Amino acid sequence: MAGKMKHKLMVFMSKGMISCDEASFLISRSYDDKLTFRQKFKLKMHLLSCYLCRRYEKQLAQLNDAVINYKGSCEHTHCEHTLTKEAKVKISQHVNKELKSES
Amino acid sequence: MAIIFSIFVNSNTILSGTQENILDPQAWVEKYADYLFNFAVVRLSDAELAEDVVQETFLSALKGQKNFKGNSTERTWLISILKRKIIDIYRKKSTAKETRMNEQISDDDFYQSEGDFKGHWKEGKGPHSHSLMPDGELENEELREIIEKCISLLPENLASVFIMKMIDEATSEEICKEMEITPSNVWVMMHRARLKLRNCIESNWV
Repeated sequence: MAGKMKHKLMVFMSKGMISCDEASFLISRSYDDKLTFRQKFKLKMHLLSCYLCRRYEKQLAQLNDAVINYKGSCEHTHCEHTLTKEAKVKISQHVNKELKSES
Repeated sequence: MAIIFSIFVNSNTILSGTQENILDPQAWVEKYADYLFNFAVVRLSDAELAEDVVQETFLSALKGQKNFKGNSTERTWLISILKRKIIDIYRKKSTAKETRMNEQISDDDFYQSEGDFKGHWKEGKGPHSHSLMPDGELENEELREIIEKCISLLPENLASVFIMKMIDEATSEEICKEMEITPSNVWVMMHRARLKLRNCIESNWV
């Protein structure tokens, strides 16, 4: 009898539980979309028992900051990407040819 | 006197402001080629392709000079043409088939696909350490290079969506429209991109 109750309880609990794939998806989605109350609750319950997903949540926040920082630094300095001399000459030639054919 | 002087200064800046909004194609390559190239490399992770698209941008701009209304700067106008071309490249790269494959949330590379722990992190695929990078390394030059490298290693369709979202700050609606995908495609693709990027960045610090 007790075993049956325990089994029923397990089934009941596992219904509301999500695994790491869904939890990490919800962590990611929270950056792009507003989670529903239900999704937030499921995620919280999972995070209580899963240290890997707690780390994942923290690391995604760091990833987000790092990418924002990367974006900023690439817009102000040139991110060190500049055209080679040869490429510039080639592009100039094409542009000049087009300019001449216009006039 | 001060008022007269300030009016003079203001009218002067207004004049030079209008002067900026005239097209001068002769000077384009010298003035903007590197700027456009940097913009394109960051978004395409491919120097050769970026070179081509910068050249095409100048040629399209020459042909479309009459479309320039003068209400933006020359540089902003050129960037808007370049942006369109980059999105066209994204669209060409992403095929409907790839997108459908991405509908699946579960990724066997990262999660266990069977057994009692189905859906849990695969051994070694979850986060190893507490922090993704050493403390205070956010401004680090090395981190910038790692991020750039890891973005370039993403599958092309994931990279496109990730860059549109994170670098160009496009909304999910805009991405859906440009790439002809659904919001749930966007969420799944962003999730996959983050899984892979996190893994890539972490393994680069070790």
